[in-house]
Amino acid sequence: MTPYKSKLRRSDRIRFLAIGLLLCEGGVHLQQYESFLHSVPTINTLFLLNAVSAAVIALALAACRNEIAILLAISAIGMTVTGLVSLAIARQSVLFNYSEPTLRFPVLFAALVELATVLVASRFVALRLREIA
Amino acid sequence: MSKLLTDRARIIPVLVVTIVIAVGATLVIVLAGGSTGGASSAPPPSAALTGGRGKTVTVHISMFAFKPSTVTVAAGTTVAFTNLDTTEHTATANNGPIFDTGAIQHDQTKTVTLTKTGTYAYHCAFHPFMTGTIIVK
Repeated sequence: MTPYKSKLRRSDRIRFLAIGLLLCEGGVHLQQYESFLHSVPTINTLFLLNAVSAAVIALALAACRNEIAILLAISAIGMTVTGLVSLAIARQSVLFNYSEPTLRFPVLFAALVELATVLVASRFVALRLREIA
Repeated sequence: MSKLLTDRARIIPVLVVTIVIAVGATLVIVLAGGSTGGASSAPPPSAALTGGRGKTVTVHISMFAFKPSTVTVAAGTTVAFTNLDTTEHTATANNGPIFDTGAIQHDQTKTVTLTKTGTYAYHCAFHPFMTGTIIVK
């Protein structure tokens, strides 16, 4: 009996993980917009924009596996790092008239998911570039 | 088959550029347009003159707004701020150190007592778009 060998490349498995994390990131932002932040000026739109962008990038990343996927992963990293930096600023001071003094569970969860997204997407970019080379 | 692959290869970059432009344009609109909607756009009705020396009037903090946003009280009335949101808020006087509740946790209440007549505008130090007024008569 021949042992089962996955046809998926390692970079594809990492890509799927990145897609899942991106959808999770967008989901948390959407949930926070809907239940909590929809009445906060500017921040409400940015949260909604993050959710939509995460979903769009995730879907596009699911459809592409070539060089375009690398660009999409880089854009996911850029968007997510922007979110993390914004959270760090809001924790320390005021950003767009909003500050986040309380480390609420959704905030902690979103930060962990975003951190994982950056790491996984970066790993995907590195693996894919190595495969191309 | 090869034509199909070529067409697909042409469509994908166009699709990506379109998405990037759409997201970028939305971001520009958001940043240029400033605030949209929110608690500050529709201030709740103000309360009539209430309280009196030794009495307490409650202002609830809910969904990033002081409710009611304006209270009119008699001198010596205690105004209690109860935070119903899960994030911290403050009630901080706009003009100098007249009063500042400091951070009010979820479900916590902090009070201020104003003895001098006048109009006191205040805001939340963490979320400056949240504003309110206490009128002391």
